Amino acid sequence: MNNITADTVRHIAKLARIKINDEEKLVPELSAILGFVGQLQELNTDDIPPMTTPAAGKTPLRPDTVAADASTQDILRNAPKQQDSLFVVPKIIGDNEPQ
Amino acid sequence: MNLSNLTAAQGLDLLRRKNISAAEWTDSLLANIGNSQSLNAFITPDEENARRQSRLADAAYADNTPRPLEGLPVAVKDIFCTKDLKTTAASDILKNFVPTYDSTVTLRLQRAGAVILGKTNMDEFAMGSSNENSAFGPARNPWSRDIPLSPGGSSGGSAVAVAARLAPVALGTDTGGSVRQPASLCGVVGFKPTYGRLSRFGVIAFASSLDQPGFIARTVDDIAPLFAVAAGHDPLDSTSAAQEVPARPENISTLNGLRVALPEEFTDNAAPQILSAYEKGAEILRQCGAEIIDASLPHTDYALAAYYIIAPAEASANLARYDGVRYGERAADENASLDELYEASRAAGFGDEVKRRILIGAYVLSAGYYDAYYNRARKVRTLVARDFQNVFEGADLILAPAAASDAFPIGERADPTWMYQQDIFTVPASLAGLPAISLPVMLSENGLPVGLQLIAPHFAEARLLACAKIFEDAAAFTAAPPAVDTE
Repeated sequence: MNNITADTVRHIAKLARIKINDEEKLVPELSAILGFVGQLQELNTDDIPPMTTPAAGKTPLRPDTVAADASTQDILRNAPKQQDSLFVVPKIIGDNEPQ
Repeated sequence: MNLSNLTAAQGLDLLRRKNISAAEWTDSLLANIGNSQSLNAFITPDEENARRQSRLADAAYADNTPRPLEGLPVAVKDIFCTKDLKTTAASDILKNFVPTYDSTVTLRLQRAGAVILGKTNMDEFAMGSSNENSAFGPARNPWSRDIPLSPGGSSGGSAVAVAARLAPVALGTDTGGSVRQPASLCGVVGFKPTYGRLSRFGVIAFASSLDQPGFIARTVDDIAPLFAVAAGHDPLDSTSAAQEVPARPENISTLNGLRVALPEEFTDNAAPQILSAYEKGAEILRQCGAEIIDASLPHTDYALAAYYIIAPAEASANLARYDGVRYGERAADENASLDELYEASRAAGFGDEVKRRILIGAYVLSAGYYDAYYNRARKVRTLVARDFQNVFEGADLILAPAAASDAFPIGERADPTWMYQQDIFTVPASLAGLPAISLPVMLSENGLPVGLQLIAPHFAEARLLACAKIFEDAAAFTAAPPAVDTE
């Protein structure tokens, strides 16, 4: 089950949007981790409900009201590139490329 | 008197009696921080603001209007957003990030008069148990003599700051042991409240169903006033609990009648030096009047594996926000496509362990593996939580080791799964969302501190802190790191 290959690593790196060029190093590292966590396969977990949160207390919802939040200036303060109160990103829709 | 040796309780008492000033207390700690740069405890000290706040605190005492923590110096793990003060999570991707708002916990402490000394070192995004995963280099354990020792992690800088008298108390976060384990390795007290007690708003997210702010101090007495101020419902965190916060620990003077469980799985897994501390801890509790009960947490061996699926899965989702667009570093040339921009920014900005965890998280959540890994881990989490429920039907508290070993050398271990094993005693309570406190109990044969933890049922902090205080007094751990002058 935990036999992962360089192709698998490239696939999950693509899913995670991280450029990698050390697949050969990652294969044994990730295999060791998956081997370690794979010990859960020994357990019979039929009919056990999955747990999403350990929250044991009351977690009330707040009223859904309009309130002032961060200003445009605050939101843009840490933007790596901005122009005219907008985040600058590369061109997303190509000139002639059908997407 | 060297003011940097004052505990929070001692210092606040002296401030109220006007025997010392907040300015001289803060200044003595800032001097120690300046003289201890080799410990690498702080990523961003904040001298100027700390000096200013401490002088405002003195004005409040002069006016007889001090707030509960007026003038108390606090070190803050660099994972809590602090308005206008750089907050990096020890990551290159946030190396220039300056929050425009405060985390709820730091805001509540400041509104109670606390003085923030600066932001402490940690493992990147709190992923690690040695502080070696910091983009700013590891903090160094002040108990090091010849070779540099790890302070543990991920809240390593906070534990170092408290142990080395750079701060009386510090904020940390505990996802799988990140407050309790470094506290144990540095010979100080580490407290993780019930999941949901302290707001996660403004705490840079790692694994949202596990992350919980906590405190590091040199005595149990120093925890309660911080907890009273910081805990309590926060509308800005949907998992924040609305349970009433106890104003102070229970008023008890012995442990007579208290039932403390010693799960057999912890004895089986403990290394010899940890086992001798564990046995000593049980004996101390017995002498304090507690009844020691045999117990079992049968899924303990699987807790760690479940944790190292759930935490990376949540991390891979939480860290998707670092895209090189809205905040954080961007690393791409002008001609890059949007995907290339994401991929290059994340490749340049994240360290090796963070990348491994994101990749593992993406894998266990991906089509074909979700049920086999992620869903199965969530089911095992249910089993771990049920184990605790069963033990607490016949016991008030659980005694457990706090760390798998005493402090280990920096740079010795490159194997990620070895490092994951360091969390074996702390992860089970994290999965179940239970409050726990680690306390130094003795020195190992290596002359290094070894801690134990007490684990309580949900929301039983008032009892936990009261019992921990009695245990602490009886254990009488008074050793300090070699370079610290305790006079």
